Amino acid sequence: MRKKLATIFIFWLWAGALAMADTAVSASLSETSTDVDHPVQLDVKIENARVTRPPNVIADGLSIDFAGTSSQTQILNFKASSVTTFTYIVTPTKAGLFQIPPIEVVAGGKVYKTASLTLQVVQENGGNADGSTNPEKPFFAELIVPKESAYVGEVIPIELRFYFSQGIEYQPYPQGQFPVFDGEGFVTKKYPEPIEKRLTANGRTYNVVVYRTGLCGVKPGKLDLNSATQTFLVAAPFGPRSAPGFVDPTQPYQQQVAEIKTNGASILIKSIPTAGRPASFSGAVGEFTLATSVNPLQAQTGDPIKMEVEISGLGNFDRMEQPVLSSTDGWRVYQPSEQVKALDEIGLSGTKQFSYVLIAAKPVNMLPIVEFSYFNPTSEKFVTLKSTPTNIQIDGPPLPDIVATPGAQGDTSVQKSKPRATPDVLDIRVDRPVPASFVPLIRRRGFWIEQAIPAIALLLLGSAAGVRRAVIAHQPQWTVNREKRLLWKKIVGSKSRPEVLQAAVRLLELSPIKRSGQQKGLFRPLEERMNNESLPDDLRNQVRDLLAVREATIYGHVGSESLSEEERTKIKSVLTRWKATA
Amino acid sequence: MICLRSNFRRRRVASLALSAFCIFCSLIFAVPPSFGDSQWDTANKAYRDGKFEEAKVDYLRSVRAGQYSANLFYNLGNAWFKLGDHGRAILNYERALLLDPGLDEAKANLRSVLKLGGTDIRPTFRDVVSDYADVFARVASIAFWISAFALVAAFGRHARLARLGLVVCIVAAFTFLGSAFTLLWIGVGPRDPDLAVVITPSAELKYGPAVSGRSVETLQIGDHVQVISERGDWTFCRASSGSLGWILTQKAERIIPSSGS
Repeated sequence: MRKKLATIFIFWLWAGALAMADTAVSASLSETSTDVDHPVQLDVKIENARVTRPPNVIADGLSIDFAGTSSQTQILNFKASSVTTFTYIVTPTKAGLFQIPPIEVVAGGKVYKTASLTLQVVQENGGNADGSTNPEKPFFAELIVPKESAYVGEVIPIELRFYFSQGIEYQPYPQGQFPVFDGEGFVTKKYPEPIEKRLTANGRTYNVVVYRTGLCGVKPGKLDLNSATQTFLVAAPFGPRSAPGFVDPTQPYQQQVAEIKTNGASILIKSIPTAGRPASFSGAVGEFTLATSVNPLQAQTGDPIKMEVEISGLGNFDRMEQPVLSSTDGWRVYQPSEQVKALDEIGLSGTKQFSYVLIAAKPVNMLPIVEFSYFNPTSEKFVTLKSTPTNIQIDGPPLPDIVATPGAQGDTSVQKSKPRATPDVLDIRVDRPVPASFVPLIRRRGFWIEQAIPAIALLLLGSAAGVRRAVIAHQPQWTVNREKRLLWKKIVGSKSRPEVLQAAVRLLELSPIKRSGQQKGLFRPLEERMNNESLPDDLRNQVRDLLAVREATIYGHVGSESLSEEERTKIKSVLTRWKATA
Repeated sequence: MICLRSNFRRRRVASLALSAFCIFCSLIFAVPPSFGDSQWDTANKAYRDGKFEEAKVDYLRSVRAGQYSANLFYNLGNAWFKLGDHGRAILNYERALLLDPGLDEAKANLRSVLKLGGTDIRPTFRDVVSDYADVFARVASIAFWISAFALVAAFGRHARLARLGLVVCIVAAFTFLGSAFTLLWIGVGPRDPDLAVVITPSAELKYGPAVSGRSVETLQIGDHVQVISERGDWTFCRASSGSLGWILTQKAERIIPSSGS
């Protein structure tokens, strides 16, 4: 109870200290001189007062758009101070010397005013990539970058403006498509829905589609944004224009898909200094505040205690890691869950909440101290925020076996050398990547080409078997034909009578084969075939004579050894007739 | 002499056939252009130096170039994890496992990240089988051809060879049918190009494509959804529970990366 009262007393002191502090309002420009259409950043700082709504800032010749809010509270030597910063993008639309009048801020029922600011605007030489200086062009685009330099990880609010002449109808194509940047070495935030407004440029009024996003350089060096491109479906009337204010539904429109490019820009990305870098720095760049809350303030050992750590402000929440806990002796600290709540449409300002679950392993009376460091790009210094020591009452017996948990951070000295004890994943693989495909194997062309190998092999096997069978089937026929050709050659060319007669008789025996086509006919005796009734008698007699002459010549050695041409002709004639009748 | 000549001819034909086969295989299995070694090393070095943003950018460049590999997606998943984007870490571990279902590191990291997000996704038997769809396709094709060749042998003149061919043909045919039916059962599985993963800690599945729409159910990080159609910033999809509804497109990302994304 006493500790509770002490906590309330501290809060009361803090609130009182804040209330006692003097309120101050100031405004500053990132640059005092710039070119036409070259934006600068305007910061309005309100010290020691709670202001939630951004003050209205208007100046002739300047387009001023609100970009984000950040707030910071700190207590030093029991003296509390808070700073709220409203950031604006100021874009000059023409050359000249411009004055931003004193900005009025209402805080605590009182009106405070900043000093007036002066901005020198000179005419830049040349136009942008898409000819924004060309008043004849019906549509063009411009990229607005408010800074010329930034730090790695610092979010730079940027605007992409797409101008369309009055009377032109337009819509992003395809619908929902956002602009695409040409360049590398940066990441962009997700785009919110574009806004539309009416602006005057080069003395003409345009309907303007404005895309806002945040850009963050990831590598030190010169960051070249070549252009940003957005595709629109543009419908422009052709023919004589209707009178202003009169909508003629019959007027024909020419529709086209137009790819509109913005101008380019260069930003110098500076690396975050290493000198003076706190151990608890994890890459957060911007301006932040730290707030903690805990529930319950009284518990037993082993009871879970929820500690909420809220880091709010303006900066890159994507690069922000969990803060470091120190003085964790006697505590088991578990990995916190994280949640980001954006306070503006591009997520430049917001709150990141870390919810820790703590379990006291023994009676303790103080919560762990939360420490968070970030780099402030405005002051170019590291800032370390620490939570105020909070009393807590933990009773009960110590828990047995205090095992180091993944997120546990016991010893403060160890803590400093290891600022973050986040749950980790297994290390990366360094062996060369083997190319692979997401396409299922059965949908890959290569798979089906592979199947051609066994298919061809099977086809060849089948063909070979067929050929072999055909060869076996036709072998006797081929042999007979070959023998017949040789015999006929002998009959025509040989001078030996017995040889020619022998060949002629053999040819007589083989001839019927061709007609009959029956293999067994080959072995049928010649005599049997001669008894065939269809055979002419004179041919039968001639064949019989030929057989008798052959037998007499070969076995009886009767007659001449050489063949006369007359006899050869006769033999050939018999053979020809035999062949014809067979 | 004739016999020697015939042997020589046979050998020549065999060597020609072998050469043709080798050329054919080299064309089929030709390895695509390898990764830029320096880019891979640079990305890994950046990761090791704790420059996770740089490492992520370099890994993403390889992904955009279509140089997909299990190792690349695994390392990219680690980079996203280090940057605090657990949703995209899960997505990339799943991609890595799709390309190499045996990548144990990816399995372990996916389990850890899902646990951190409080999601407990237990893969079904079908999911496990689906991971090996390519293996089943390969087995089916090999079994089919073995059965075809064995069938040819079964009609051969040698009795013993014919008997053996018949047995092999029956066994291979059953293997082919089993693998083919498994493939039909699992379909495209996780390689479905319309399958997406919820990449934010939670996503409301709504009845209509509007922020003010009534919620059907709340999806958790790592949950799978089947994309049916897209309209503006909203995606009409089917959750794994079977519910149909609309979620913000930015809250879920397809597992199969679209070319050039």
